[in-house]
Amino acid sequence: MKTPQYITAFRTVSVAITLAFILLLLLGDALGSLAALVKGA
Amino acid sequence: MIRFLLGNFYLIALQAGLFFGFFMIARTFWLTLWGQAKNPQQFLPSMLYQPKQYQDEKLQAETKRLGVPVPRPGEFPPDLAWPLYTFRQAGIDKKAVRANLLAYHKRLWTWPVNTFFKRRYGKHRWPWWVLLFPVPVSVLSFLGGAFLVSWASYWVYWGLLTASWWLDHTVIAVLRGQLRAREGRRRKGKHTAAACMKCLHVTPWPAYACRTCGERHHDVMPSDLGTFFRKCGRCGTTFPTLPSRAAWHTRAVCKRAECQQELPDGTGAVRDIRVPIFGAVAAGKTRFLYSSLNSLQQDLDRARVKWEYLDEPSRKTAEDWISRMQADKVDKTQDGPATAISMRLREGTHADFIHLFDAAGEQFSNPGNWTLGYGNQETNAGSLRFLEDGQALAYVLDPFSVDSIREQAASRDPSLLSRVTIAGMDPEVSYTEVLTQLRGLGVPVESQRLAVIVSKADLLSGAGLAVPFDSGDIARWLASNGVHNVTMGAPREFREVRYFTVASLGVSIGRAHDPGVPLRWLLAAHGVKVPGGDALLAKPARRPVGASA
Repeated sequence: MKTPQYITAFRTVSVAITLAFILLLLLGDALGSLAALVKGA
Repeated sequence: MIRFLLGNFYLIALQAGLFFGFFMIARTFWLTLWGQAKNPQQFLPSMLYQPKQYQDEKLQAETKRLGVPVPRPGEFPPDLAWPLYTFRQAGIDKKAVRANLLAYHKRLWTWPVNTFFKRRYGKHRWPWWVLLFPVPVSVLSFLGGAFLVSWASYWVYWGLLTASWWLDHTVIAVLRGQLRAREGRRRKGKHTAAACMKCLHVTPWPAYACRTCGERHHDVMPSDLGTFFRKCGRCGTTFPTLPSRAAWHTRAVCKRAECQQELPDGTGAVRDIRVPIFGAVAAGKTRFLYSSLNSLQQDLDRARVKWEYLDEPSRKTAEDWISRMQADKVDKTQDGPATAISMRLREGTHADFIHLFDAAGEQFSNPGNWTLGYGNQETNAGSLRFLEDGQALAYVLDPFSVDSIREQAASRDPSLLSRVTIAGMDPEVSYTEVLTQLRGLGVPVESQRLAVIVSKADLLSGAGLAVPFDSGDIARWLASNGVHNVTMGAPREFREVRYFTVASLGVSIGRAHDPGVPLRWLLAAHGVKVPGGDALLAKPARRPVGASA
């Protein structure tokens, strides 16, 4: 049976929030490391 | 720079692993929740929690709780509709993502663990840790980073879904409760309990059939099956919850399995007033019904209020009787099933449904008719069930059946009695008979209004008797002529009693003895906006019955 739209919507929102949150953390960490690298170099 | 990179290779591997962990969780989500896995052995898609599973789960729980198989006769299983995401699906998704992520990590860690720790690919493992030391460190740093980010992401996802579940079980559950309570108050104040025109069965609201597939939904209040909207479990059509909204997006159907009559749009959402008429044989009940109906219709036409009969039998019967009454060719009502005349005043959400019931006088004296259960008959139209479910009562009293009044009339016009059909039963007896039965059946008459209608006022006036118009004057006039049980007992039994003298012929709307006035009063008392007529009589003395504070 086709997945109802409201289930897809719930999944999309929860996954999007999770990934956005983690991506922000990762980018923050990567940029911080890069800055440290540039400073160190 | 190169020296820095070579010196910090494990940090670079760790950083790359962090991003790979992000890729892992994103891939797991995609393959699990959107079911796009090319190899289902590696990523099992999350299963859908189907409406049938919800139905079975609820039935099993209820069977266990009660210790008897459910649904029992006359009960309905839970409706076939998609449950809320947080009810079970969120839990299933969490488990599926966790299982797939775990399996993904197992596959990823197999080679490094076997190589660096278990000697599965060679006799010795020391070369890895002595000669090729940077390799295992880099690989393990990379995998460690991936592990950290992927599982951190999973727990963020788990936390989000758990928070949604908690929110649904607290704040949104309260909201659903509020919606149900508000709807309940609205329904009570507006008298929206729905009557089936075929079997006269009255329920708080009818079953609502999906307009696409016809699946019956028996309880459309906000629940696990939807807060604001519900999705049909058979075809996926979405429609609003709450009977006041669902009634306009579905087809209303009588809930009784034996009936299943389709009901008009808006049933269960709009005001639905049932007025049973009772009285002795030949008291003038039928004449009163159709003359009051005719008066109301003329009034509505004059005020340009749209009205129509709710079903074809109502239209045919009413038109036939009104034309016969206007030609003064009214016969005695046949001793058969009760007649129900159903009308709609206005359209859309402002509509009011009115049902007037009339049965031959003999029906009230037949004890078998007071069995209000459905038994094995196809419909209950032959019984007096309509009396049990009425919100207001109209009692028709033939003044000629009161000895004192009859004698006064005969003394003034000796030929009058030969021209009048007189009710065979004493009015006090016919009133007490019905009231005793209603009390015995537990009908809450104390919350109802009673209109005592003295019929044949035109004949009394024609004989030269002074017939009062005012309710209090009529009560005193009846009491002075010996009608004590009704005039003294009724005000104690009912919430409000008013007296009317009516004529069925040659009466103008809003004038003395207008038969429409008692009907307008009963309807207005329950919140029906009826135009014109005697404003004083039509206006309820107090707030409509059941209206919220």
